[in-house]
Amino acid sequence: MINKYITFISWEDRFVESLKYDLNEFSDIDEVVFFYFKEEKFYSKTKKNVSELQQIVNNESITISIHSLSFDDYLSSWKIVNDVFNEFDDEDEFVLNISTMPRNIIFSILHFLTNSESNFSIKYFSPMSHGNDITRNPSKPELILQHGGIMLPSKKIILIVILGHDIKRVHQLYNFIEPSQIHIGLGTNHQTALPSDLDTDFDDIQNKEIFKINSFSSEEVYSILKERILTLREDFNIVLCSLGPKIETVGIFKVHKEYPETALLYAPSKDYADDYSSGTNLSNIITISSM
Amino acid sequence: MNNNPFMHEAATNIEDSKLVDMFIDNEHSHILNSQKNIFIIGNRGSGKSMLMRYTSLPIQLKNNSIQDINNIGIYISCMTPLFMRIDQRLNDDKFQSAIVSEHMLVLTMAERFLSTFLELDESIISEEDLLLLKEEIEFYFDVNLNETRVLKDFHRWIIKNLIDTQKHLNISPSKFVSEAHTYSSLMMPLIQVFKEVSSLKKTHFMFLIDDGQMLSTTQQISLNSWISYRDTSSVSFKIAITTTDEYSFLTVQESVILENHDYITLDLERDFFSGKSTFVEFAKKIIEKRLELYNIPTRNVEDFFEVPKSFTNELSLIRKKFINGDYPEREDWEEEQRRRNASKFVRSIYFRLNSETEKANIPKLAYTGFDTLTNISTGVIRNLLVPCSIMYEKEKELKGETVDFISAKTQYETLFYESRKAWEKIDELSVKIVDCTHEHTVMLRRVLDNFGKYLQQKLLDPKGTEKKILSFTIHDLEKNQHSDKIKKVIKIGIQGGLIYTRIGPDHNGGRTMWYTPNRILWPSLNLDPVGQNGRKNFPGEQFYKMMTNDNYANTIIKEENTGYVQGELSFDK
Repeated sequence: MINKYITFISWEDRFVESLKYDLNEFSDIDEVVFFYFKEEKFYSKTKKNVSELQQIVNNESITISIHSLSFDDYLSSWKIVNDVFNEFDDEDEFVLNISTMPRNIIFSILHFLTNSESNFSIKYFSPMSHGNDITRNPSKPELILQHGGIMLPSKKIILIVILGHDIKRVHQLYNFIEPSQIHIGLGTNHQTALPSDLDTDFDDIQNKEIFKINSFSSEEVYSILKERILTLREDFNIVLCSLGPKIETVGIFKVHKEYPETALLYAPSKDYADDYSSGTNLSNIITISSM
Repeated sequence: MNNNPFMHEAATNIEDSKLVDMFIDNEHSHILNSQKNIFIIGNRGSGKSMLMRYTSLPIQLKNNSIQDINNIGIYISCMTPLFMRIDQRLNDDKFQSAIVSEHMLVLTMAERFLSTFLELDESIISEEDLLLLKEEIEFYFDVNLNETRVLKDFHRWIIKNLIDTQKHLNISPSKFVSEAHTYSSLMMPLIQVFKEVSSLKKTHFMFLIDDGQMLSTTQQISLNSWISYRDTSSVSFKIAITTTDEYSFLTVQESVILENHDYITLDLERDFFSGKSTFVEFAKKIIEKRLELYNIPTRNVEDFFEVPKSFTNELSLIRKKFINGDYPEREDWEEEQRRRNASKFVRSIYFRLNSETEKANIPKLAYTGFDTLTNISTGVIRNLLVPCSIMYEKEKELKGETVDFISAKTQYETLFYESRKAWEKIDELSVKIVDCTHEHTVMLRRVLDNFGKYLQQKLLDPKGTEKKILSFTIHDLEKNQHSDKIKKVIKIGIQGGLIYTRIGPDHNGGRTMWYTPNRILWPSLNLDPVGQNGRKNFPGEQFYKMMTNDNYANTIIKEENTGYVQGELSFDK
């Protein structure tokens, strides 16, 4: 029986709309766990929703627990998520709404959920549309804690990355870890058009292989990455990174769990536009009930 | 193999034999082969990794460039996710966390150390010495080694340790790695044991640590502490880093390692800037070596990069007329004085004449020839190889497989295209460089645009005193209230490969930082990339205004023309 709901507070429409939708659907929820970033650049956008959580949940029998995380200090955020999970019981079952959750927090929560062998479902709500200039100002890429893989100094690095709207972000990753090869997955089910001239967009990148992938399908992400990992794992250190829709992190995490020698890398963006997304596409909700 | 001789590939991805063929030796490899601790500084593409790999033992042996093994280089790349791990910091005990960081570093060093010997086609260690090694290693490290595969077994033991450590960090990072090794417990005994081998008694081991800025701060501190021992009789460290800003020079004792005491610095880019002829010679050797390796019939760079006869004739005519006093440039000088200084004015007059001609106001032909290409590269080999590679591909499309020279048209079209791209890419830096914001890119674009427009007016003004300044300095930067913002924008320019630096003279006879924008930016502004070692000095406040105001170059020129001169021009003698 699903009784715990985990989500990440955002200024996007889909935060409130997806929460309301799910609370209607899961009538046995007794606690909603909210995470948010405390830094002003995010909090200035989310504080309205933070202060109105009681009204949004609108159900006195549901406990609301709110936990502030730090965008700038992933280590402390990890410890907070760990503490939150230490409080849960073995019988607790979860819904994890990843729609507005940063990818490092998704990976962290998936770590604790899978380690505790809990029952959980993952929900993803797409927006109706995205703004034009959605993310910018990248920060230093970080390995996901406890998922840095097993790297051998004798092997060269291969980076497998799935891109989203902002295909230029791959350059930052490429410059940062200078892999011997890079496999670039381009999402086929995006609202934005795929680049017309791949050679121009990626001309600074050498030894690249470009593949198409439906990044909204965690199963396809899992199977395509698995196929690539199987051919590369003997000879290379493999680093996996997600820059596309949040839902692809689920497929990436699943394949990484199967091949724990691969490393999970997170490439954060410091700034998100106020018009990052608008609306919630309630006719296209993705639910993943097992990993 | 790609048949483009100029295809630029990261040095870490080049095969050993290809690296031996392509490497052009210069005084740097001699410096590296000393017993000193050395920091090698240079941005991406400056040739750090090529130099470090070239110095490593397997490549030195392939190249037959060493007759004995008095210096053994062990190459260690820090560009690995292994050193990005912060899991050990989930252990609240900072000392234990630091030990685990050092443990991962020394295991990697030991693995590379043993790999270096295992990679050799013929062992340089006799069977008798292998038995000695077996005994000693078993004693120090409590392992059992088979006498027929002593090094292989110990290498496996090291790898197992490395794998176990990573598994430990994946499962229970908050707990200490009880078997953790340090430099003192692993590397020092290992080196001591190898020094017992008869053929290695006089050997000096050099750890060639590439991309040291990728090590965690605690690992950098460990490394600095080993450097601070100062005893380099058996071991020295050569550490390649991008910039000094990205590396901590602190030791465990919280002191700082000192240049010229603990280490010396080899700055690859600044060395090239300070001597144009050195770089031109070096660049020429690199290109000619590649033409030879790829069997290109034309082996001479001056012939390979065509300069149209019409252009050289035009320059000769301008020279003649300049000496004759036919142009407003230096018409007040004596003829002999003009003759001596003609080379400084001929190209600028060509640019001015083109700008005054209605139809042909783009000085296309000035962007041809090997000399122009080396100037455009701003002293960075990568900046030379990239346009050459594109030119080669274009030419191949036009002529088929055999490319025996690059036409003038292909050269200037490529340089204009690459120049436009360089300007366009400024906007993209905010998605490419860590901690670069959109606002930083706007300010960087403004400052480069203002500087370029300032140079344009200087170049085209026939009465202008100095024609070919391509660098700038910033006066009293530290005292300026916007100093942090200015430094950040410049740092992004440096990280984005748009600004290069070197230490040069300041206006008071001291030393200061000289900034040279990447000269690939200048064809878009019809500027001459062939310059001299001159610089424009901007006061900090004026520089800040260049960052925050469009078209501020006009204001600076107006101020100079009305006698209100804040900055000044000077030339490196």
